[in-house]
Amino acid sequence: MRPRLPFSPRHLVLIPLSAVMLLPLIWMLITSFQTLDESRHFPPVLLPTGIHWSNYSDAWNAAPFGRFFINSAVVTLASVAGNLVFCSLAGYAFARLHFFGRDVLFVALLATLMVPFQVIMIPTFIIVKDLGLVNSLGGLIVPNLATPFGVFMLRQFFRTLPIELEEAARIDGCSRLGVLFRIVMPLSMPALATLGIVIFLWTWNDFLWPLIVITSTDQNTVQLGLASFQGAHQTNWSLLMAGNVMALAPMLLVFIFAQRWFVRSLAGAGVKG
Amino acid sequence: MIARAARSEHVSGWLFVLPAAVLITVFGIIPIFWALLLSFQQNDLLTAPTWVGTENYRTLYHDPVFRDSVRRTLVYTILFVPISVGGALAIALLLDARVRLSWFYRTAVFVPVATSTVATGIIFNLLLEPTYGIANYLLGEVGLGPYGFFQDPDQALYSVVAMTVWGWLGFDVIIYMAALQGVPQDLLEAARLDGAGRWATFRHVVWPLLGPATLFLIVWSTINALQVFDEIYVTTRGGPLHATTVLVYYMFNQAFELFHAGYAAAAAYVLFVITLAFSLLQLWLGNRRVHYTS
Amino acid sequence: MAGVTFDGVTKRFGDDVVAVDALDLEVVDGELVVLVGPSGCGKSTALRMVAGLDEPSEGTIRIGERDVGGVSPAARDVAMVFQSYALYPHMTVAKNLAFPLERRHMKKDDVRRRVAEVSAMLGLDELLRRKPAQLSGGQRQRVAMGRALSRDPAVFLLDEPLSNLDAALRNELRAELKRLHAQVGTTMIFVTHDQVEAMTLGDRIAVLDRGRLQQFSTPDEVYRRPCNLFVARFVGSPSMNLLPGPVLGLGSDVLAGVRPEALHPAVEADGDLPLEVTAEVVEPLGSDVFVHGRHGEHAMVARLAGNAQVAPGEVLSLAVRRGDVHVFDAATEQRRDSD
Repeated sequence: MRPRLPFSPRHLVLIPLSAVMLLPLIWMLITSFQTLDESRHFPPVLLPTGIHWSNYSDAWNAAPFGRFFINSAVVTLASVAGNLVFCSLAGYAFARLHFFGRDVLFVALLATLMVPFQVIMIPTFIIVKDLGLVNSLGGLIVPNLATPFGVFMLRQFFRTLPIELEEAARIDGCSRLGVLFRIVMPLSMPALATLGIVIFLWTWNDFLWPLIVITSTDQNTVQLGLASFQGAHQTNWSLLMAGNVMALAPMLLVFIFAQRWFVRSLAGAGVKG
Repeated sequence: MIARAARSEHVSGWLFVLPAAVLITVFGIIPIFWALLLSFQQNDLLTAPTWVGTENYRTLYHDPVFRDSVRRTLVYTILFVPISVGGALAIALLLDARVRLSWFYRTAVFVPVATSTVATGIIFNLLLEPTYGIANYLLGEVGLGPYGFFQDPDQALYSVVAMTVWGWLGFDVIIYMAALQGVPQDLLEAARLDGAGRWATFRHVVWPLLGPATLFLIVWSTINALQVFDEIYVTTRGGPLHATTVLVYYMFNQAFELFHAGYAAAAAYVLFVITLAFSLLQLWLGNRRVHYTS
Repeated sequence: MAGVTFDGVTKRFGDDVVAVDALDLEVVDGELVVLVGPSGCGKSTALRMVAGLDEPSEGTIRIGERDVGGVSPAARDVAMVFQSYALYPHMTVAKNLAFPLERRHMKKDDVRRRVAEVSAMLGLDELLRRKPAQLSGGQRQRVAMGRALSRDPAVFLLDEPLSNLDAALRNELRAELKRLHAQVGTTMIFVTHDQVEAMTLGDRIAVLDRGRLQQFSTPDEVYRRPCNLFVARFVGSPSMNLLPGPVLGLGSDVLAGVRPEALHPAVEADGDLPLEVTAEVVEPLGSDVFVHGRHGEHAMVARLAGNAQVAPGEVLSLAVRRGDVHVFDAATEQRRDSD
């Protein structure tokens, strides 16, 4: 009773689905190559008269995209580095060390995961203001240098490693810190990669917190810069899309080249979450 | 000797934990309690705050804009969660078999996840532009529309649902595909031998084993949906006529545009309670019906 | 109840892997046949083709008189016990047993009755409400067998069902399986890599190597008259000793096979071929003594009585009865019947 098609009937659904998923991005790309008039034309100009690269150079000049990228890169790299180091230290302590108040502290950290960011964003803003970090990259980096998610994830992962390896290292004279950095972390590459990718994605795409903390253009991250770019050039679609493509390019490139990694990290984070 | 070793472990433990503990306490735990305090104050982030007890909560209760924002958030959530989770399941099942070009389909489904919320909003502003956007053009070709989308108060929220589903679907598909791969092959073969057709195999063998993934996605999606903000800020700014003013947008507006920080903190705690209630309910239901294979 | 016939069955994977090569085999109705051989010999593939989980590239498989080519697994009236048991983890034992019956739309009362029957037969009554994760390996095994039994199929297929159990449990369940077969009488095809299991369980054994059937006969026949070198060395533990023909006074175009248990201290008796063995390692096991040593440059193993006193380095005068010598053609490795 199988249908006698030369191809699987799944294609009949998958093709339109893929079209719907890709169409917005493709249309963004096409629009970015159009002239301003073409972009406002109705019916839409499906094939632009030419590839107007000038949109990109105009966008680059209209707003300091270079600055935006640098800011985002600094914040993201610092957050990733901070999390990898601090969450490893804490995760390891919770996983393997016995110290006074350990379980209470762990539960407290975990409990913060239950609270939405929006609850704490106002007081956190006040704290950041009092620390003098408003409108600075530090205000974006410092609150996220260690996340409860990272601590939890690494603690769970460290617990799955065979403890004999660490015991052997200690017998061989390794300090506790040495065991963490020389034995445990090299064995935890998948988990560390997952954490790194998740923090990377999350920090790069973060919008609400930067929106609150940053007030001047030169401190904007890519997302903030993009939003204000839209604010300034609302109906200049071709220019706007050129800016959008530029802003999206790094993440899309990472995704395309490292799709398998990406996907496995998100899946792993989801399963552990 | 033993006491000294134990003591050194206490010290080491605390030293290891200190950086993360300090950071999370300062930027996580303290703000949680501070926000509660704030909610009992009249605070404009500049001058000294005044204590007003539960007045903020009472005002919220009677504030029609706030109540509407809660209602809208719930409507959004009730639409977003089933569509994205259910759709993801269907797509994951379609992608699970050995189909030609599956790499292409998978990439197409996953790519939107890599777009930031801001970029997504900007793209959809372009797509759904009522006068000359391509969405109305394509719909016109099949005899539908034109629609106002973001500019029509009756359609704006649904347009936001469509936009955010587009952006998040891939993540759910990733989770489901990983879960499907975890179903042991010989269980499927045993079901074949036991006489289960495709639907029976899905219903009796695959679907129960997807329980943990489904529960995770429902809880996760609900929490995210209740907190939706970025895409709305970039597209409709809560309009038109408050049609897309959801809870977080209302909060943001109150705290950082109108400087009613105490009032916003109270709204935030309402969000917290709603989120907690949903999560606990779903987890409780889930634990009763979800089976975890050791 | 039905027999199973393999008629020229070949299974190819891709272009270069031939898992099963021109298999001709007939399992008689009600028989317990064991397919045995080392990893990769095609035994599991052959079993899966009977189940319908894979289709032959060439040849036909018949269950009873019916050619089951292209017939779905569910329609073949076969049941299978998997090596990993494949129990539905989210269902109770009772539900696991009932599942195949429910798939066939049996009436609820009949399902309940049958489940009770099978549960009683396999001693599962106390476990009915538990889930597989709460069972031991042996219990899970029994539930897997119960699920297969409950359908009362024409043929039972078992794919290394005892391999994941510890030795004591394996022995116990092996005996239980044999008892079950005697009780229920259904045709059974059992796959294993363990020749001890094969020898003790099977009415007949099919020895396979690299996709080809080597020998198909009773355990006794396979032991006493292995048809080629592979079978001779595969069956029997420790393995048969192989010596060039001339050592035992035979031609140089043959190999002589002598089982360790066929060697005995030389006695003045006619017809015994002498074989001197210089002992190197002696393993006293209580019931036997295994002597690892050499005859000339040839390594040999001998199994002697438990009270034999042997010291390493000692030269033993052993002998083997002429009739206990297996003769194989050195070139073709096939058995040569000289007597």
